[in-house]
Amino acid sequence: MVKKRERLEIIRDILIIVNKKREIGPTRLLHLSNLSPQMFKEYVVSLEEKGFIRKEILKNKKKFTITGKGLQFLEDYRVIEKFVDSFGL
Amino acid sequence: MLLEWIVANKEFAKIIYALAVMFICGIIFLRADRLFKISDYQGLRYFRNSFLFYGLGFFTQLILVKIVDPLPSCPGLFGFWVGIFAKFFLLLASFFLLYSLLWKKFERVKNHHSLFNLRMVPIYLLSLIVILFDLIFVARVFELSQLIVFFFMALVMINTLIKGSNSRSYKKYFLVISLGFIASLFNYLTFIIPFAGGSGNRFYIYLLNSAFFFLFFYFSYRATKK
Repeated sequence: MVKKRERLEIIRDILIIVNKKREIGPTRLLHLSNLSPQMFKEYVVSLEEKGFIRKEILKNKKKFTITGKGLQFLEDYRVIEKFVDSFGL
Repeated sequence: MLLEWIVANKEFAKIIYALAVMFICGIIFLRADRLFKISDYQGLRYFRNSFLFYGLGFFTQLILVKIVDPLPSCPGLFGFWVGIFAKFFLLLASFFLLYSLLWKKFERVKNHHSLFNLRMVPIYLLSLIVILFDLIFVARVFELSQLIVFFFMALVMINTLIKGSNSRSYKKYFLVISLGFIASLFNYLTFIIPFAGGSGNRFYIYLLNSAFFFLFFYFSYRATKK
């Protein structure tokens, strides 16, 4: 059975996709993030609120881009993962 | 020689011990808090809270009682109440540490406050009941409950280790929790076995507790090293 992704892993995966694509539309991001539309909406809103991604209108189309804070999270992710793993959190 | 010096300067040694533990708790609290603020991960929150309460517990138990006495006309009264609060904080700390291992089983929806939400009510209630029992029956219920909480923590960790979904650092953490269990067991025994609570034995318990906090400090340092 495939292991269910943890919240932190989902955040990391979304940020990696946005970072890799530089700018990405919501439909493509939903497809690549492998989440249900409802979960996707929840995560995207949360990531925007935390300032990890930014929604921009480019050529009349919604696009997501990663922010400096989002890049910092990707750098810190390994530390967070190690800490959570070490203390069984 | 060290033991002789500590016995001779017992109160001073206790203050140094409390300051060292508070320093360690402060550092761990700040590290876990920083990681929580980045990730919004609930487990980090409960772990962080645990060290907030350990710090508060040691501060009230070993520092506050020695630096102020707002009721000089009633000697011992302030110390009595401070002692109750210290036990309450220390018990909350252990419960939060246990809950940091279990929260995923109980929480599906994010709580907006980790100290004051409905899920925390049993923790506060249980701590209050233990303190009340300890106060009414003077039966070392507080020490026994610490022992039970550490026993449960060890059981939860053994269960996770048996399932095999763990890392090497988690195995080391299990050793730290086992040390906490041994320290609380010895602590309890020194209270219930007649004449076992002498300075020598208490010294070894302080030593075990110091090792427990120092190992926490060391592992959190290792885990946050980039």
